[in-house]
Amino acid sequence: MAIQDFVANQILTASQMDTLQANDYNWTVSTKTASYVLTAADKGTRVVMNSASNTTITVNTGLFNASDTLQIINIGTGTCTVTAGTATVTVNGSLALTQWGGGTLYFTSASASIFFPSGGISYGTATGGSSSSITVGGINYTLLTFTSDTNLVVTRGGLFDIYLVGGGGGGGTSGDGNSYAGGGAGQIVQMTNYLDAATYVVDIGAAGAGGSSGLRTSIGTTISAAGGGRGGGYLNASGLGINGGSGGGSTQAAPAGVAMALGGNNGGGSAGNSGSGGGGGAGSAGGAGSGTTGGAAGNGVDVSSFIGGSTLWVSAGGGGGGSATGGAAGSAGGVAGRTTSPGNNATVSGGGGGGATNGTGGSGGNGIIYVRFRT
Amino acid sequence: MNELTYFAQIDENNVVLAVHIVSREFIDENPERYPGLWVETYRDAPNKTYAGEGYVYDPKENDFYLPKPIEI
Repeated sequence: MAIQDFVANQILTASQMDTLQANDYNWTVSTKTASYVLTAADKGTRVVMNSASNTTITVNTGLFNASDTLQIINIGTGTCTVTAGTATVTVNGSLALTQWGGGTLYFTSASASIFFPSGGISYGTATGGSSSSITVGGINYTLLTFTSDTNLVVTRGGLFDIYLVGGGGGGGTSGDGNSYAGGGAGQIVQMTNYLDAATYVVDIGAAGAGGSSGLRTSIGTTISAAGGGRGGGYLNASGLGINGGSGGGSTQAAPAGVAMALGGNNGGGSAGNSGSGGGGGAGSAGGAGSGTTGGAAGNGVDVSSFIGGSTLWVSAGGGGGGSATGGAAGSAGGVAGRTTSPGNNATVSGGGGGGATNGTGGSGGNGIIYVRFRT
Repeated sequence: MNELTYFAQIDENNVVLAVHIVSREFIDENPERYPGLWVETYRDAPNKTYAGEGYVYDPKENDFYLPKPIEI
């Protein structure tokens, strides 16, 4: 029940008294299922957002007075963002309320308010890497991008969306005139995690050189993504593809590399040594080599759903080398195998290098880390 | 964005143990994270071989090479 203006000699009914008492003990609830603009009647009440979509609650000037308060809580799965309209909204933290988040909106004047978050876990803040502002799904984030070893400094503990890519494996390397396999892609790990305010070591997994596997990408000691396995080659244990985030392809009937991590895929195999297997990608397995044609590269994954913008592939495999036809690159970030040397280097983060013929396989792609938090 | 630099950690036999994407300055500032000997390696420099785990460092040539095959 909104605050009433009583007049002299007015008779209060029992119903009105009960409602006022209820409001005093348990604030009147006004449930919203879509974006909402606060009105004067919301003073002293609890505005409850319940929507599966992202919503806003807008605060305008001239509706409230100094010392007025109201509560805002979000019980829906969509994020509800308290938004300054014509009035200001100051906060020490985030105005984006995830499910079960909420707080008190306190006015210091008719045109200025402060939001005090309480309940639920909100996003933290951090520095490190390269910082930019992004909008994904209508939600504003600060995005930190890490491409080399450094530190992640969490200045306020809270939730963070994290996307790690391990280093891609190198293509198989040969010196005997034959064709060798494509490298596997680095593992992708995506999570929303609570991080305490602290400094965290960031290691970016380096790309695997031709004939070597990619390296692990990590934040601190508990969050990591495995490097991709290298492709098999004459100079690497007789054609064996190596296990990794995604497995490297193989040749000479040796076992292909197996995906050892969630989200990875196996490398492709090959019965001979003139058309070797493609490396696995995060999106699909590497193709098998056949005859004198190398196996296709495994597909990568589009990271734009996390960082916004246009399509950006990560963690594709490398095509297998072939004496007549190199393995196809595909259309999802992979590189083709080659009929000569050196092999093609990966062109995407965490990508596997292409296999070569009679020479050095291509190197993989470096790992990368994206950390975002709501602003 | 600064150009990325790469350093390989080598053991007493000059075998590469790890490769990191890191600057020399960051290595020097964080010795606890980067123990041992670190040698710069280049991904795209002419006449230089990018190092991988298991490669061997040749101090005379200041370059890396992949060891001979291991037959199984």
